[in-house]
Amino acid sequence: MSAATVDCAACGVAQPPPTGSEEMACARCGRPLHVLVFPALWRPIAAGLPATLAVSPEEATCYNHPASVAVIPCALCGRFLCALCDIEFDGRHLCPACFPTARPSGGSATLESERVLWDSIALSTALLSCILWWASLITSFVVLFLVVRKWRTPLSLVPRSRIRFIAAAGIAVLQLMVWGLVLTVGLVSLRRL
Amino acid sequence: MAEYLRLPGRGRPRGLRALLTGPSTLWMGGDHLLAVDSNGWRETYRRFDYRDIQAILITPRSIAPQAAALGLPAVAVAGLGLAMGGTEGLFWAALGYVPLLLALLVQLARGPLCICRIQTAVQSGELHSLNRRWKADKALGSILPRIESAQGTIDPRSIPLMESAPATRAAAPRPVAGLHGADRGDARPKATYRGGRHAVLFGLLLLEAPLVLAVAPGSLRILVETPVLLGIALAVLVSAARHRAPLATSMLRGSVWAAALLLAAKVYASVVAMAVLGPQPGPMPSFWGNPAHPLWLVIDRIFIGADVAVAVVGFLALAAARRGLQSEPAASGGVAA
Repeated sequence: MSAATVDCAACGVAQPPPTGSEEMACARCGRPLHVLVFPALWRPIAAGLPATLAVSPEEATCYNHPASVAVIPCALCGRFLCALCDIEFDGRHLCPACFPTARPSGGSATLESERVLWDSIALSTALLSCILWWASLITSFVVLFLVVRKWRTPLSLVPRSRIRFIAAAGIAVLQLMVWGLVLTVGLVSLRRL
Repeated sequence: MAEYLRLPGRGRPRGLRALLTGPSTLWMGGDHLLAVDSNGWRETYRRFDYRDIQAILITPRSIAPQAAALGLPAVAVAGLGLAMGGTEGLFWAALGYVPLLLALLVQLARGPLCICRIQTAVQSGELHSLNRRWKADKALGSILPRIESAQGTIDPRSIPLMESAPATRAAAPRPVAGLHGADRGDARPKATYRGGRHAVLFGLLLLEAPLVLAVAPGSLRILVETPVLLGIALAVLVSAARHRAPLATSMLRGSVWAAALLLAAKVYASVVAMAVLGPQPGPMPSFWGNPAHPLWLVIDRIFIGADVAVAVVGFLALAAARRGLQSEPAASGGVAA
């Protein structure tokens, strides 16, 4: 029997795959499954290259494995790497130490697994302060700070406009204007007294 | 930044997690699919390279939990209102019942639910955004060509060769169940749905217009007959939603939604009219002879006009959609009547 399996969409139990795209029933929960299988299900996963041991002292060796022959330098730190340590990613060869730094700080979006939506945070804070009006004197400044500070920060991997930032800034400015009006009227009233 | 194209669908995880998370969406990139899960303030990304996708599985999901979550409170609210007794109780029952009924109607009319799971050698995850069957079908229509261009298609003759060196799953060994009923598929060719249910729905609307014209608003007769018609329309609506994929023009969808909302609003207005006016005699009174009720009679006339308008627009949209179906026969394949 083949080791290639597909997981039931409902219960997650592995099933023998159909020979093509077709309807089948889960052997455990009995639910009907519409299954689309692709050649990758049967494609063998390529094994990693073994490191070659250095035979003469003139040969460059790996930074992590002094007994192994270096095959390539790391694209970020320049350390020599053996075939075992070489991680090919996004067209570059990296060492295991530099691979984590190839995340957002390294400018590679393909490794990013999450992003903070500062525009949503700013807008939520602005809207919440409409309800908790007494807090708006502070939150409006916080919102304006967020808008200015994070305006150029990449928002999302997928297309997303900055309309939330604009709305949040608009609400915050409006709140500050109301506060200014209230404080001015209060001060004038106090002077008259 | 990679350019992404949004695929249809927007959904939340199943169960109580739906209350704590934001909507998930699915995007198509140049060489991978991107599933975006959000909690409102933070997005998390899952990538599925077209070359690595091993399988996509879709299974139907029961709407019963959602229907119960919406229907049971509706029944409870209606029961409380009726327990109060009198027209006031009826009024409060309707006030609480109708929005919940409407929410249930919306859930039913959005089409059958499904679970869509995607599998690669290193991960297997649910695509929360593809939670309706028609959304899944539509999204797969865009994804499949990309996967096939990245991987090619399966030649059944080559499967034994491929099985001799199958891909290794990264997960721990799991129990493999024996396959039962894999060949239980119905060999009978399925006929193409041509909009019969839609026609019944719009026909009902046309039939209802003279009925409303003959009966006074707030009369017991309209309170009985309109909900019955609404029930029939609801059944037609749900049934039509299950098979709307080949006829899914925005005009037709809009007409079906308008019809459903109109019928629900009519039931609501009838109950409110009865609560305000009290039980009315069956036949429609003269407009000028009942100066106390002109507002309700005007509302009644608006409903009749809306009935006819929605039905006519619906029939025109259906005819246009059927013309499109005839010009593109390939688009309608595999949908049962």
